[in-house]
Amino acid sequence: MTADVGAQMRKGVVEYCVLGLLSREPMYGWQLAEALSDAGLIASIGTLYPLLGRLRDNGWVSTFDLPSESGPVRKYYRLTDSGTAQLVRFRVQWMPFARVVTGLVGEERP
Amino acid sequence: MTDTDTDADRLRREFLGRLDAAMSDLPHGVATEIHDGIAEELGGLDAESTAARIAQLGDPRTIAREARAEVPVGAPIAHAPSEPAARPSAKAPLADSRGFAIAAALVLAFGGFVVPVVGWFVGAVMVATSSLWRRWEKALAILLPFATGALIAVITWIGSLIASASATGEPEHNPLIPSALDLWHSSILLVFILIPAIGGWLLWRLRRR
Repeated sequence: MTADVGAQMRKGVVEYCVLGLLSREPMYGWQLAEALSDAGLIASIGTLYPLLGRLRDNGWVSTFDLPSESGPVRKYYRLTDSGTAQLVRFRVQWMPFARVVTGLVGEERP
Repeated sequence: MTDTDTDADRLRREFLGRLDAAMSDLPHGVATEIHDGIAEELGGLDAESTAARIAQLGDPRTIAREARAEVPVGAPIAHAPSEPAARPSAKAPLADSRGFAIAAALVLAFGGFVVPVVGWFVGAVMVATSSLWRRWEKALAILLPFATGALIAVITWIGSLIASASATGEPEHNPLIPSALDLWHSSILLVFILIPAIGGWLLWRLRRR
């Protein structure tokens, strides 16, 4: 239960981080995996695709195919209107939530 | 160059094979998504880039373990609701295979000579199935013979109109206007040249894929 606090937090926000990335531009799986790995939000690509499947099942993202310059067709993910609305709801709640939590737990001084 | 391509294909096949084995107990939809996502990233790379990507991906068992943690086995998957856990996408590896694509191009080029008409259609279906060509390449390869046939038909029709309009009771034809028979012969020759040429072009487009 006390395992990895970071992992629990990441699990709670990673879906919204994907929505945030896709709000800038449509992206394909590898691009998303690199962006999320670099940010330390996922450990491997194995986490990403089940997550994308959930977002698609919720109707928050949709997919389309686009040929790549190197050959095979890539599957791109883009935000739907419903996904955009969900992201807006998250943004509205996130900052007050983060402030409240910071106020309660305090800040670690460097 | 061919050696490099072959090495890339082998590395890709080996990695995807290990990944499929590691994901054998995952729900079909999840395993297929992961397999296809990685396959599309590894496709079209040379051996060096493929090896680098594979190193970046890490151990297939770790990928499968991470996915398993996200979707507990037995959990309903919306886009594959009742399918049992199975090896992902039986058709994807074949459609991705370079050997299959080469066979498809050859059947398209020469299948019609072995089994007239039907052979060509089999080749066309195989070409359409392969994922190694882009959509416009497949469309061009399949539709060009029809477009050429239509063009010949139009020329024949216009030629016959001109011939009948200029006929003034003299039985001989203007040698500058192709007769239907000339065009029929040229169209057969064209098909014999055009279709194998399309097959060759498809093979050429396969390089580095």
